[in-house]
Amino acid sequence: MGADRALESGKAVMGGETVEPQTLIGRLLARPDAYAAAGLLAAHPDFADHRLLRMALPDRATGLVFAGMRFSPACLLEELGGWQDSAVQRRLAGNPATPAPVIARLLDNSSADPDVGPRLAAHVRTPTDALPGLVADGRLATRVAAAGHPGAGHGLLLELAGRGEMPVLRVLSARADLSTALLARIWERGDRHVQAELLRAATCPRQLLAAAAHAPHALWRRRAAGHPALPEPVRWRLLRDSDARVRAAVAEAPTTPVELLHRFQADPAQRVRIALARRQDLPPSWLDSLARQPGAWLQRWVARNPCCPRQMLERLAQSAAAEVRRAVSRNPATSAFMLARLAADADPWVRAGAAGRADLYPSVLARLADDTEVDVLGAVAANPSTPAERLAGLAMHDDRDVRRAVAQNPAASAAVLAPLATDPYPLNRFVVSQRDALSLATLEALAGDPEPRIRFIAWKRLGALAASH
Amino acid sequence: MKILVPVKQAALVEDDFELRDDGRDVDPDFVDLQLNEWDDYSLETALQLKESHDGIEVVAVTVGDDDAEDALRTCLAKGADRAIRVWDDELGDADPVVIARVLAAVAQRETPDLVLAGTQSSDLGFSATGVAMATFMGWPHAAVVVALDYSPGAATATVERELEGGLRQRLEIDCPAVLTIQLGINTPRYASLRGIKQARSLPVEELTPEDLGLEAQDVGEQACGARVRKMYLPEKGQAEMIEGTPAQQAERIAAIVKEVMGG
Repeated sequence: MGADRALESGKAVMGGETVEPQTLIGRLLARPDAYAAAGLLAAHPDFADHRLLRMALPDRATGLVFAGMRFSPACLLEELGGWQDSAVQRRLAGNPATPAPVIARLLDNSSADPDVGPRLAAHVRTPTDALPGLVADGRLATRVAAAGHPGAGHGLLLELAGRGEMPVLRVLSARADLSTALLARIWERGDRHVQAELLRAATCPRQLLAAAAHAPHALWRRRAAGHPALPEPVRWRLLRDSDARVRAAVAEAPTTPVELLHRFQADPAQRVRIALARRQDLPPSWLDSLARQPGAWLQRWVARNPCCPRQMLERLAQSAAAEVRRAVSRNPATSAFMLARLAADADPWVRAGAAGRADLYPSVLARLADDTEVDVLGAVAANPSTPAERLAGLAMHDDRDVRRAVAQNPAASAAVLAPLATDPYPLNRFVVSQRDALSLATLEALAGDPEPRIRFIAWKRLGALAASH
Repeated sequence: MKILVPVKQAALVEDDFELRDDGRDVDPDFVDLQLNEWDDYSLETALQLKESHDGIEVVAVTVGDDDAEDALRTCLAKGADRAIRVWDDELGDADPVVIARVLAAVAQRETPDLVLAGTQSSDLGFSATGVAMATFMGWPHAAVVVALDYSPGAATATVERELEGGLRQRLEIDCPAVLTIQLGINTPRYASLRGIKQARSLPVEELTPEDLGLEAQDVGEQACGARVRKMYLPEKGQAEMIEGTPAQQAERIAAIVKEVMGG
């Protein structure tokens, strides 16, 4: 096979040589492997072969594993749906990948196992009209699960809210599709934590938000402060709240006009000033005022703000605090010239910040590639501007985190990734297995990996290539 | 010089497991087997000694059925020189003391200069095997070792033990000795793919208790001082978040105490 030819985005670029489905099946029949078989079954319907199904499910232990795995191919889950095994059925009921026909079959027998009902009630493929039947099992766990089901009907949700069970109400209060009627019913029955959650809802009535501004519980005021439809008089009141988190929530809310926040520059709570420093609509004079205040933590947020003027960044780059200098190195507004200076910083954490920048001068990046600190090298290895020959060297580095950064680098070519397919660290090989740009030889190497999940991915990709011919 | 490293293929139980029909263990279908985490550190300690001095042989040993061979293959893949597996169906219900008796018999046969065991197993957590092994052998031992300073052939080793409250105890121990190694003493290596492939074809010596001169009464059920009667999930307790002012909370706590104490 054309071992070193690149495969891009699942398309086979193998010259005239092809991988035939029957060849792959034949190879597996000679050396059976459940995960490889599952990979082929996941690759393409062409591989729906009873021999592969048998190979993928050699025993109950393996069946249990696949029944619970989100990556299991649908045909395997359908096969498992025919097993009369309550543990397998429980796992299928809890697996979001389980196909609708299997869910339908499980629904027919859901009364046989009390642990199946709650899982089915939470499953996205459980039909909406099956939910009322499931919650009739009398179990709180099922009602909680149904309350979170994305397709649950309004009538059922109202009924669940009406029972006043706090675990159910907590789930209901977090739904994004709360109607006004449902919200009112939850509010009526919920405790103050549930009610605080409702104050974030888009449908929360203005009168509730207004009432929350006077609430004795700071939790209510904090939640209300971030609401995009907060009435102006309420916002004015919360701007002067005694609780710093409430004021910070007002400062963070994008709907709060920046002009209202002037006084926060001198707020006694650093939390509030940080919330202000993170806004990207601050006038330069405000940023300057914040940058001149003591405290590296606050200065760090100013230094990270992309609206920070260049002159201010120059000044912050001279800070005695390494965290502030690093923040400058990560600010997209920092010039390549300034980055070159930060790349020579005495603190490796600052150099690492610069080393991660794709807009670094090539000569500076080359110098950083000779650094001895692992954090700096890791950033160079992850930098898409790092030349291929440098990446190839870093792919052989002693430190596994540096090697993994190469494996994750979007610019790493098939040739750079190839040696990482035999990395001793399994996570690095897993990362490589998911990269689009791999040579066929690399995929073949991964197909024999000791880690089952890596073999699964490699065989799935080999199968997809074969099926595409 | 020889270092003996007793290891175990430990069970990693999945979230929704079931128990065996006899109710004394987890159903093996719900178990993933892996080299015991603590043994990974004791093996690494042995391998680092081997790499820093010439002429050291590292021998991994386990007491277990066919499934336990994977643990030994992992040790060989990482750099152990030899592997020994001891098994007989009589050992099926062995407690840590019986396992230690078998390991001590292996040590008597292998005559190591040092035994490095894991402090405990991640599944059963008795923390007894290494210490009991030292007792059978009549060797000094140190448990929960987090640092080791030892020159092969020296009459003593200096070890640091981890104690409660963040304390450390440094002690000098006569060698040969049995040390049980704690997590964090080093960073265990990952086996290279080449090592894994080579380990598949390396021999694992298989022995029975009889080969080691042990009688049936030394290893059978009658030799066990502890027998598992039942494994189960305890009933879940009930928790209540007490809210209100300090006075209200105090009142509620007093009511709970009265309720529980029956006063």
